[in-house]
Amino acid sequence: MISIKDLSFSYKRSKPLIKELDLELPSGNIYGLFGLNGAGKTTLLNIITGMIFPKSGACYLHAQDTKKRAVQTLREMYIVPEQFDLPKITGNKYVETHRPFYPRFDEDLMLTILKEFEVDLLQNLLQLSFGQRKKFLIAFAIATNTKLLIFDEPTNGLDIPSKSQFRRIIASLNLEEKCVLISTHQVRDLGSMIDHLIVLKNGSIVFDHSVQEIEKRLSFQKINSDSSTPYLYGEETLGEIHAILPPSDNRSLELDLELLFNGIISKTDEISEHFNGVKS
Amino acid sequence: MNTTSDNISTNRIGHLCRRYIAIKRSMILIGLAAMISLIVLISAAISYYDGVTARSATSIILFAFMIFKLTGYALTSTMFYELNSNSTAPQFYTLPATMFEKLISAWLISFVAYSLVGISVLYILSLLIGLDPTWFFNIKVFNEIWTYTIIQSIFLLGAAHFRSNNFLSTVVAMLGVVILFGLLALVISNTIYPKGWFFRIPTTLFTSSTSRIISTCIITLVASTFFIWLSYLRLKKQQLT
Repeated sequence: MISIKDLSFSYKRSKPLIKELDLELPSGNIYGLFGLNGAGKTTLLNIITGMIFPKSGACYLHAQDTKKRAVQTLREMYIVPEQFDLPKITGNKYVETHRPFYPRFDEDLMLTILKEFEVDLLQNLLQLSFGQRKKFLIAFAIATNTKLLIFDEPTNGLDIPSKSQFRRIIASLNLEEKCVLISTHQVRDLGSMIDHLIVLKNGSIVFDHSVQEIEKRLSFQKINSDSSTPYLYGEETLGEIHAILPPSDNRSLELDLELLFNGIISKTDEISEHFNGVKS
Repeated sequence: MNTTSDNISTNRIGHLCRRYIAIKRSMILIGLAAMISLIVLISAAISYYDGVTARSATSIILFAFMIFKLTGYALTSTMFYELNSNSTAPQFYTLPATMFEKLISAWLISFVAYSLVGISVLYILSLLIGLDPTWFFNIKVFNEIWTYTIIQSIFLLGAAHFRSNNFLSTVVAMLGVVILFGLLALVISNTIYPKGWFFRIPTTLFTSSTSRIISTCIITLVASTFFIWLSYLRLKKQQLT
């Protein structure tokens, strides 16, 4: 569905933020895009949606270059940015004036999500809190039924119940022919719903594997601090090491995305070598 | 018209216009209320003074035209306000319509719809202050309209180009261009005609023969189309900062 080829980007008079990046995102998955601050996650999302143009290379959605901002491309993607402002109109008016642009817009679905989120469509959008507005936009985004849904830090500003509601709603989506891309720092908030992990570091993809593959190739275990067991990455806590190891006969703990992310960032070459047999 | 491809879709243009009107509803209502209040006030003042002379009535209408034009330029400058902030720009960029449709809908609202309403109001005002119903169709009004048409398209370009204070930035840019060309013309004329050069201000655009009106209309059409086209090119290249 999404195909990124040899993409490079830099802001004026700055060093390259994204370097010769290649990425394929087939439909049917929920992708988690992770990276440290300034790694280029939001920039990558902005390039995918055609809001900024790459210096070289291209991004395609269904073989259409997103830079062209063609109507067929735009009507198949929706982005919920991290920070956004909505116009000073009621939720109803917003839906009435924006839904005609999305041919498969599902109003019933939107009403169901808004009911779960407890957001009132009759209220002026500017009178809603930031979290409420975010829930409104998330509901609208899902109701557009576009093939590509992008969320940039979707849980920022949401209260704890809303975060789990968001997870439930995304998990209930019919992903056939759909692709959901979530960029976040909140690994703990969203880790459970992601089925493919992409990590961006210094403008390059250093990790791009499905959760299924991760579970097959790694195990997460707590080992004693004085244990001689070799591990790929570990974090010491209260005399124990929470470690990432190659698969072993010992029962693995549940996939810990936060630990894995920290491991990928600090031991990039080792983890990459373990997965690909080559250093990244 | 086709609405599934990137051909121009009248449906999408209609949706874009409705979207703009919905977003700017309160501003539009305030503008209409101000216009109606102004008419009522002027009519009340005139009836209090038992009417005005034809010369004063003409001055009132020309003053009202000045207000109409300034308000129109200010409105035009806000047409792409969403681009001025990274928190509103994504809604504009990713809205499924072509940049041409977004531009045309902005022009329809800021020029066609605004001019229709504004000129109708001015016509009603001219009748209320006692001007002859045919007075409105004179060369003075024509000159007001063609100059407005061209300058409005320059403000549309300013709205697409600048990322903040679009109205003032456009005024400053226009002044800059006028001064630059003025100085350039002065230098060239002094070089070619060192003894001094007199030129007549072309009166073509200020007289009322039919052929001159037609030529003015053509110049207006070409100039405003040129600036609208430049606005389109600018919009296509705009990116999130």
